[in-house]
Amino acid sequence: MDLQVQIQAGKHLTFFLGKEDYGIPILKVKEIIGLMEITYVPRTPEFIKGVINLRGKIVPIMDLRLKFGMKEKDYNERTCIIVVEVFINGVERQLGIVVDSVSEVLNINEKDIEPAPKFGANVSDNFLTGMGKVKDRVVMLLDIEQVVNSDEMVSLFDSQQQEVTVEE
Amino acid sequence: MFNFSKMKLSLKIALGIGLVVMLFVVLAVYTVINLSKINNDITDLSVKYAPIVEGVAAVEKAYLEANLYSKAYVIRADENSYKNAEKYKNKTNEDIHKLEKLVNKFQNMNAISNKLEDFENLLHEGEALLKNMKEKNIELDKLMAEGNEYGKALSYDLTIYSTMQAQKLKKGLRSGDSMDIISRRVTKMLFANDSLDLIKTYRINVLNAILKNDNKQLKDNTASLDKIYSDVDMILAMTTKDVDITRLNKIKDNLKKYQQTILNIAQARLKLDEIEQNRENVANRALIFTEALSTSGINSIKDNSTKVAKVQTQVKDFVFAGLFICIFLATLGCLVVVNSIAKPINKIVKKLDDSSNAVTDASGKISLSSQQLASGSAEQASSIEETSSTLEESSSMVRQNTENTNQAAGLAKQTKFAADKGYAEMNEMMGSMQEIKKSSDEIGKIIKVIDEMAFQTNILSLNAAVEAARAGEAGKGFAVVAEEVRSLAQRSAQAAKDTAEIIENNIHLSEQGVSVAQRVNSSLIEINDQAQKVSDLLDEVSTASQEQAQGISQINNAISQMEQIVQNNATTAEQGANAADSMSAQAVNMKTIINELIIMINGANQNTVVDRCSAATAQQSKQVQNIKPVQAPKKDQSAHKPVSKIKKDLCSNNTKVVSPEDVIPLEDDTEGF
Repeated sequence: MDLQVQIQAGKHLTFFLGKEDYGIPILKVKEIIGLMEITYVPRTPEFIKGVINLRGKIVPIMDLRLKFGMKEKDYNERTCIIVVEVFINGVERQLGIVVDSVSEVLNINEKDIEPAPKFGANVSDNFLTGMGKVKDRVVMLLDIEQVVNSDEMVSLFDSQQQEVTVEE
Repeated sequence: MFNFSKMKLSLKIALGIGLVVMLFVVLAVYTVINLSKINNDITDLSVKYAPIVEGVAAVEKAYLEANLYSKAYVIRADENSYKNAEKYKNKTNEDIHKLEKLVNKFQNMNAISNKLEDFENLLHEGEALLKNMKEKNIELDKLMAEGNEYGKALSYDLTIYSTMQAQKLKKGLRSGDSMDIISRRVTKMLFANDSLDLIKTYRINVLNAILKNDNKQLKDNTASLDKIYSDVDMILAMTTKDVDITRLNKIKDNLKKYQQTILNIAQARLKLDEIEQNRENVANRALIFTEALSTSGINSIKDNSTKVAKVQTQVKDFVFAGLFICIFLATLGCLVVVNSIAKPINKIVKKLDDSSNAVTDASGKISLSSQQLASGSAEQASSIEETSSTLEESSSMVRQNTENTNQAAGLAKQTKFAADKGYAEMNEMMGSMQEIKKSSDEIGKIIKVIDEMAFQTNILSLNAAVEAARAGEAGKGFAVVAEEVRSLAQRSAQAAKDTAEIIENNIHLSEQGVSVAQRVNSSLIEINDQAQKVSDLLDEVSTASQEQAQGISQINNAISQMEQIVQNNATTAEQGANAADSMSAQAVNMKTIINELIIMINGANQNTVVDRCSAATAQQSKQVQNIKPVQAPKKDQSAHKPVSKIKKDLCSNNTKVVSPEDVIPLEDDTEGF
C-alpha cells in the first residue's frame, strides 16, 4: 500500500475522457502523438482499434473509452494517442491509448492523493490507484498496468510476442 | 269568358228583364199547350166517348129486349114474341152498325170494334137459332095437330066401334042371340072400352108430359099404346065381319101413325130443347159481351177523365211552380241588377266625391306650390349668381393647381434620379461587403492553422515534459523550458481562439450588412417606382386641371343659360298658379254636380247629404288650413271667411248652385302674382 502510494505520487500526465480528468504516471508515458492512420486488425476485441506504424515500430492502439465501457465518440483534431510503456506478462510493451484530449503534466503531492473509493463510476475499482485533488478538480489516477493486464490483452500480446520474436 | 260586372248597364237591365219575360213566356206557352191538350181530352170525352157509351147502352138495351122476347118465345112459342124478338134483334143490329160507324171514326178503338164484331156474330148466331127454333116449332105444331088428329080419330073410331058393338049387343039381346055371340060382343066391347080408356089416359098423359115438358115420359108412354094394339088384335081375332075388320085395321093403322107422331113429337121436342140450350148459351155469351162492351166504354171514359184530371193537376202544379220560380227569379234578378247597378254607381259616386275633394285639395296645393316655385325661382337666380362668382374663384384656383402640379412633377423626377443614384451606390457597397466576407474567411483559415500549430506545440511541450521527467534530475531544467513552451502554446491557442471569434463576429456582421444593403436596395427600387408613379400622376393631375379649367368655363356658360331658364320658370309658375285657381273653381263646380248625382241616386235623403256635406266641408277647411300659412302674411282675415261660407254653401247646395268664386279662397290671393 505504501509502495503504491509512493509510486503514485509525483508527476502525472492528465487527459480527458468525457468531462472527467484522468491521470497516468508520467514515467509510464513514452510519448504523445496526434491521431494517425490506424490499421484495423481482425479478430481483436472491440476496444482494440488496430495498430499504427510509429517510426517503424508496430504499436497496438486501444480506445480507453471502449475499454472503460463508455460511449464511443468520433475522433477529432483534439483526439490524441498516448504511447505508454507497460509490462505485460513481465515483458515491457508499448501500447497506444486513444483519449479525447491530453491536458497537462501535473505534479501531485502525496497529501493530495486519496485512495479510490470502493464504488466506481465507469472504471472497475482495481484500475484506479487513487483520487488526486488538484485545486477544485478531481483527477482519477489510473493504474495503467492493471488496465492493460486483462485476459484479452494478455492473449493479444502473447500472439504478438511470438510474431515479434519470429521477426527478430 | 263572361263577366257580368263588366257589362254595359243597359245590357244588364235588359238582360234581367229579358230573363223574367222569357220565363213568363215559357210558362205561358207551356200552360197554353197543356190547356189545349186538356180541351182535346174533354172534347174527346164529349164527342168520342159519350156517344160510344150511349151507343153501347142502346145496344145493350136493345139486346136485352131481344133476349127477353126470345125467352118469351121459347116459353110461349107464339108469333108475337117471335116478331118482337126479331124486331129487337134488328134494332140491336142497327145500333151495332151505328156504333161501329162511330167507333170507326176514331182511332184506338179496336178493342170495342173487335168486341162489337164478335157480338154481332153472336147476335147472328142467336138469330139463326131462333129461326131454327121457329121452324122446329112449326113442325112440332104440325106434328101435334097431326097427333091430335090421330088421337081424335082413334078415339072417335073406337067410340063408334064400341057404340056399334053396344047397339049390336042390345040388338042381340033383344033378338036373343046365342050366348057365345053375346059374350064375344061383350068381350069386344070391353076390349074396345078398355082401349078407349087407354087412349084417353095416354092422351092425357101426353098432354101432361108436354105441359111438364117431360120428353122422357112422352117417349115412355108410347109403350102403353102397345096394350091397345093387343086389345085391338084381340077384337080383330074375334071379329069376322069385313067391315069391322077394315074398321079395326084402320084403327090399328091410326094407332100406329099416332104412336109414330108422338115419337116424332118427342124427337122434335128434344131437338128444340137442344136448340134452346144453344140459344141460351149464345144469349148468355152475348150478354157477357154487352156487359164487357159497356164496361170498356165506361172504362175508357174513366181512363180519359183520370188522364185529364192528371194533366190538369200537372199543369196546375207546373203553373204554380213556374209562377213561384218566376217571382223568385224576378226578385233575385231585380236584386242582382239593382245591386250590380246601384253598388258600382254608389262606389263611383263615392270615389267621385273623394276625388273631387282631392282635386280641390290638390288645386290648393298646386297654387301654393306655384307660389313657392316662384319664390324659389328668385332664390335660385340669386344662388346662381353666387355660384357664378364662386366658379370664377375656383377657376383661378385650378390654374394655381396646375402650376403647383407641374412643380411637384419636377420634384418627383428629381427624387427618382436620386433614388437611381442611391441604388447604384448601394450595389457598389454590396460588392465591398462580399469582399470583406471573403477576406474574413481567409483570416479564419489562417487562424485555424495557428490553432493547429499551437496544438502541435502543446503536444510537443508535453512530450518534452515526458522526456524531461524520464531524464530525471538532468532533465529538470528542460522540464521548465517545456513548461514555458507549453504555456506559450496555450497562449497562442487562446489568441487564435479569440481572433477566430472576432473574425467570426466580423463575418456575421458583414452578412448582416449585406442583407441590410439588399433591403435598402429594394427600398430604393420601390422609391424609384413610387417616384415614377407620382410623376405620372402629377402629369395626369396637370392635364386634369387643364380640363377642369375648360369645364369651368363651360359651367359658366351653362349657368348663364340657367339664369335665363329660371326667369322663364318664374313666369311659368305664375301661369301655373292662375291655372290652379281656375282648376279649383272647376273642382267646386264638379263637387256641386256630384252632390246632385248623390241626391239623384240616394233620393233626397237628408242625412246622407248632410253627412257628405260635413265631410266635404271638413276637407275644405283642412285644405284652407293647409294654404293658410302661405297667405297669412298677405291676407289674414280672408282665410277664415271662406271656410264658413263654404260650409254654408255646401250644406244648402240642394237649392242653390255654388259659384266657384265664393268657395275658392285663393282667388284673391293669386291676384298678387
